[in-house]
Amino acid sequence: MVFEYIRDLLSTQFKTDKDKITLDTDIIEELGADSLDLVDLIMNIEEKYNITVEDDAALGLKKVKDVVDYIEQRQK
Amino acid sequence: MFVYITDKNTNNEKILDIHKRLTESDKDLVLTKDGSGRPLLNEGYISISHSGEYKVVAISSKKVGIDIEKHRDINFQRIVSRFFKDTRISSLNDFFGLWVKNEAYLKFTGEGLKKLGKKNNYNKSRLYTFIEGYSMAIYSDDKKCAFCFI
Repeated sequence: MVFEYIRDLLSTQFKTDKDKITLDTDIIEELGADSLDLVDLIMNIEEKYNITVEDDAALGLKKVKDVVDYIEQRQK
Repeated sequence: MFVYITDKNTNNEKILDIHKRLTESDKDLVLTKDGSGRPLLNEGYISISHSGEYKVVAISSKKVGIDIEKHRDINFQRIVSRFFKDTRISSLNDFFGLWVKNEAYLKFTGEGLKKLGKKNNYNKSRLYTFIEGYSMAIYSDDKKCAFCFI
């Protein structure tokens, strides 16, 4: 569920086919995210899941898997 | 300082090779990264940014931070409300100027997104808008700058 939401979000944000986004997709290297994209993504996640992404944690969100794992950890 | 403006897919090694030839240096430049992913040069300083179709690379004998952002439709008000509470921004263009100036400063200090919005000297970043549809900013004590489109 979390992965599907993140995948759809990234697909829209970066105008990429959903099928090309996997857990291993690197958000910066493969999707071409810049600093503003990352902040926008984080804010979307915070609003959707009602969580706060800590500054240090944000730096570690490089792959889709990192984002999914982070959200799922916060949901426990 | 040299600032190379190029296609996002241009290889960093190619840029360093051009820089070596332009500056008539006999030393090979080697690009590595520190623990936080910040680019490091064996000689001088480097800062890299990419957005949209462009990559920009600043190389200087002094510490430098550079950021470029493609203008696009974004909910900038929520970003301003969250990270730049004491700043009044009413237009998308002004927001991109604020953003790149902040990012350039944070890349200069090496603090990155961690310190986004915290009080800093970002206003001393120099803003450039000569690339249509983009804002770019540089923070450095090196005031001389040559822009090279490659």
